[in-house]
Amino acid sequence: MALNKNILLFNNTIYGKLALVLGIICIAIYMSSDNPANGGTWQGYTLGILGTVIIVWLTLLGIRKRSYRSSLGTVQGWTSAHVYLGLVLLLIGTLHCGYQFGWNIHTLAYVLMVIVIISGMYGLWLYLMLPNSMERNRKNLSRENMLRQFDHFNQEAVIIAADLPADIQNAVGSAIKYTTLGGSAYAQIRAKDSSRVSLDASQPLKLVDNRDQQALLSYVAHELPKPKHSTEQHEKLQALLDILSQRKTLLNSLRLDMNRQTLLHIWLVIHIPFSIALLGVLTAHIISVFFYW
Amino acid sequence: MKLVLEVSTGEETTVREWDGKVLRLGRSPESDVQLFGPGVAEHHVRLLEDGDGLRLECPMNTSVRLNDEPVRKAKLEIGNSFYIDSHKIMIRPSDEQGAVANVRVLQYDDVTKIPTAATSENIAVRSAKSSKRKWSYGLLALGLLLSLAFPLMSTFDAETKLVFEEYGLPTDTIWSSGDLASAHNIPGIANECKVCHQSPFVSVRDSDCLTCHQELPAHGNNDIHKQVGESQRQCLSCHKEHNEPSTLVHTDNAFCTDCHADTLNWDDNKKTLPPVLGFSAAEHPEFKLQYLTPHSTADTIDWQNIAHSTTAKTPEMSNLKFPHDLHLGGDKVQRSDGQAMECSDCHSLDKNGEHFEPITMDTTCRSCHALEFDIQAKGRELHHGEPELVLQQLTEYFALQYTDPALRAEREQDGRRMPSIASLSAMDRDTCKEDAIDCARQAALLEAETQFERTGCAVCHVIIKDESKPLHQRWHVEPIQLQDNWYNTRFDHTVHMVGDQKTETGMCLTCHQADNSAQSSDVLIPDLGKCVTCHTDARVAATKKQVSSSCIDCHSFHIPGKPKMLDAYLGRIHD
Repeated sequence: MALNKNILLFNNTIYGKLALVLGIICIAIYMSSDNPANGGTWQGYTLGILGTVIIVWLTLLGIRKRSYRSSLGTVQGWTSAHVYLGLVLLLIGTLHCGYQFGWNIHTLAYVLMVIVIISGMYGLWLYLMLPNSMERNRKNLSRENMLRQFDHFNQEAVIIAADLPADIQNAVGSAIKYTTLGGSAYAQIRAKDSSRVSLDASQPLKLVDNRDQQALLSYVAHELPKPKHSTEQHEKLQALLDILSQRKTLLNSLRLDMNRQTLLHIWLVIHIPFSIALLGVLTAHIISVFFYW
Repeated sequence: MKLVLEVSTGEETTVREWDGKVLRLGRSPESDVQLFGPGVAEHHVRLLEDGDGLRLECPMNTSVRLNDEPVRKAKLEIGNSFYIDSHKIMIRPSDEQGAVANVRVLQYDDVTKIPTAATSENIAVRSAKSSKRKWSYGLLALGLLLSLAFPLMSTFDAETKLVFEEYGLPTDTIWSSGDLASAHNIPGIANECKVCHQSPFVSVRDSDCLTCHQELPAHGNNDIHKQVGESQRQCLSCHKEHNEPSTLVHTDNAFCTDCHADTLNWDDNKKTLPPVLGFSAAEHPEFKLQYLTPHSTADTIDWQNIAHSTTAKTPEMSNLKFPHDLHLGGDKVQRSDGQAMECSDCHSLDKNGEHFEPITMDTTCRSCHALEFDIQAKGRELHHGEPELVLQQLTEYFALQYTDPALRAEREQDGRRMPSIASLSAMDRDTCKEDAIDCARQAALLEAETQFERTGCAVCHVIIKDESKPLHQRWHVEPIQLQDNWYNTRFDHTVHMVGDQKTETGMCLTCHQADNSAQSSDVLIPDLGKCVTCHTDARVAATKKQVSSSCIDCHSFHIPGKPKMLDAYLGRIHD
C-alpha cells in the first residue's frame, strides 16, 4: 500500500472512527442546550475546551514529524489522526460558536480555523491525487537528474549548431536563452511557457513566440530538406532536430513536475502560517472572553 | 582586406562585414573580436592578408593550436581552423562579393555559460520553508497585536481608547462576541464594555445590573433562592447578553427547574409548591384556579381569593344566576337581529388580550334585561344596584298614578281592557278604590315583592328576605362576586383564536364548555389537561408535533407586586 493511502486507512481507519464518535458526542452536547447555544453555556465551554485541545495537538504534528527519535506513535499514525481530528474540528468549532458570527476576534479565530482546515483538505487531496501521476511523469529520474539532462541537451544543441549556418546557430542559441522554466514558487505553479526565439540573425534581436518549442522545431525541420546544406550539415541538422525534440519532451515533464511538486508544498505556506496565527488569535479569544466575563 | 565575421557566443550569433588590414583577436577591448577565458591574452593573435589566404601571427609570447599543434605563426587556407584556449576560429569561403574569407569565431567556452536550469529553486521548493516560517511569525505577531495587544491597551483608560478609536486601531469593542439587545445597544453602554464588565476576569455581577434596574420586581419577598438553600442565582443565570440574534432572556426550562424540580416549602407562610419538571400532564402539577370564595365570619362574609384545585371542581359562588347554555344556541334567547348570541356579545377582550372587560348590568345585561315594572309605563326602569331605594321609587311612582285623576281613570280603563296583564297584583292595584296614598303604598309593596321574589331582580340575583327588618331593608341582594383573573400567569386569548372551528364562539367553546353549563357555579376555565393537548416541552415538541412551551411563556420571574430587585439583592426585605 502506498504511503499516501496509509494516511487515511492507517490502522483500519481507527482515527476516522474515533473522530466520527467524537463528532456525534459533540452534536449531542450541542443539542442538549435549549437556549442560544454559544460559547457561554456549559455546552459551549465543553466544546471550546475540546476544540482548543485539538487545535494545540494538531499544531504539534509540526514538532512530532521533525522528532525522528520520538517513539510517541508513528508519524503516519499522527498524520492520520491529524487529518480526521482536523475534519471533526470544523464541526466542533461551528457548534462551539453556535452559528453566531460577527465582526469580532472570535469570528476571526473561526475564520482562521476554517482557512487552516480547508487548506488542509486541499493538501490532503493533493497528497492523494498527485504522487502517482508525478511518478509516471518522472520516469524514475530525480528532479536534479532531469535538470542536468536538460542542461546537457542545451550544450549538445549549441555544439552541433556551431557547425551549421549562423541563422540556425542563432535560432538554437536564442531559443535556449529565452526558454522559460521554473523560477519562483508562483512561476512554478503557474507553469506558463513564455519561451521565445530569434529566427533571423541578420536583423537586430527580434523574438517571436516559442511556446512548447514549436517555433524552433518547425524552423529546424524546414531547414532539413533544403539543398543548400552539405551532406555533413544534413546529418548535423538531423542530430540537432533529434536533440531538440528530446529537449522539448523533457521540458514538458519538468514543467509538470515543478507544478505538481510546488503544489504539494505551497498549500503548507497557507496551512502552517495560518495555524500559527490561529494560535495567537485563539489566545486572544480565550483571554478576552474571560477578561470581560 | 574584407572579411565576413560570424561571432557566436552560444546564445546568439552576430554576422557582420569587416574591412581593415589587421584583424586582432584577444582579451583587450580594442580587439576586433574580444575573447574571454583564462588562456586568452590581451593581444593574442592577429590575422593578416597573405596572397589568396590569410596568415596568423602571435605578437607576444602566445600561441594557438592548429591541427593540435601549438603554433605562433602560420599560413591559413580556406577550410582551416585553429583554437585559442577553448575558442574555435574557422576560416571558411565567403559568399559575399569581394570578401576574402568568412571568419567564424565560436566562443566555445560560453557553452558552459548557458544558464543552468538546475537552480536550487528549480530543484526543490526550498524557499517555501523559509517563507512558511516568515509568514508564521508575521501572522502570529499581527494576530496578537490586533486581537490582544491593542484591545488590551485600550482598556487601561478612557483616553487611550479615544486615541485608538481616532486612529482606527482595534479597541476592546472587537472583543464583543455579539450585538447587545436593543435596550442595551445605546450610547454609553454599547461601546463601553466597562459599564457592565467592571472588573477584569470577574463575570458581570448583579450589582452592575441593578445600577440601572432598581425598580424591577423580584421573584419573591426575599432572596428566594437563599431561603430554599440553593446557591444564589445571578441576573446572568437567565439574562445572557451578546447573543446573535440578540436575545436577552434565556428560555431554557432548566433555569426554573433547577429549583422547582423539588417540592418547595416555605415554613414561614405555610406555602408549598409542588415539583415542576416541564410542561406535560406528568411533569407539571395541576393548575390552581383562584377565585373569590366567601368565608362567613361572626357578623359579615369575607370574600377571599382562594386557590382551588381544578380537579376538585369547587363551585364558584358568584351570587349571579346565569345559565350559559340558555343564552347560547339561539333556541330561547336571540339577539335583536334574531340570531343566536355569540360569546363576544357579553365578553369583550381588553386591550392586552388576556382578560375581559368587566361584566356590568349597564354594558352587558340591560339591553335584554331592562328593569321595567309597569306595563303601562314602557321604558321606565327601576334603579339598579340600589335595592333599598326600590320601594321608595315605586311608592313615588304609584303616588302620582293614583293622585292624578286622569292617570287613575286611564289605569282603571286599561285594567278592565287587559285583564290578564303581568300579575295578580297589577290587577288589584288598578282597581284600588282607596286613598291615593294608600293605594300607592299597597301597589308599591306588591310590585316590590314581585320584583325581588319572582320576576325582575330575582331572575339574576340571590335575594334574602328578612321579614323582621323594616320594609326598605326587607330584601337583601347578595353582592355579585365575579372573578376577573383566574390564573397568575400570562395568557393571550388573541393568539389562541385558532383551530378548525368556523365561528368565534365555536373557538371559545373549544376550551370553555359554556354550552353545557346550566349553572353559574360551573367553573368554565380549562385545566392543564386542556393545555397539554396542544402544548408540550421544547424537547419533545417537534416529535410530538405540538407547540413548544417553556416556563416563561406563562410564568414571569419578575412578579409584579413583589419587592424590588435591589431590595431583594441587598437582603433588606424580610417577611
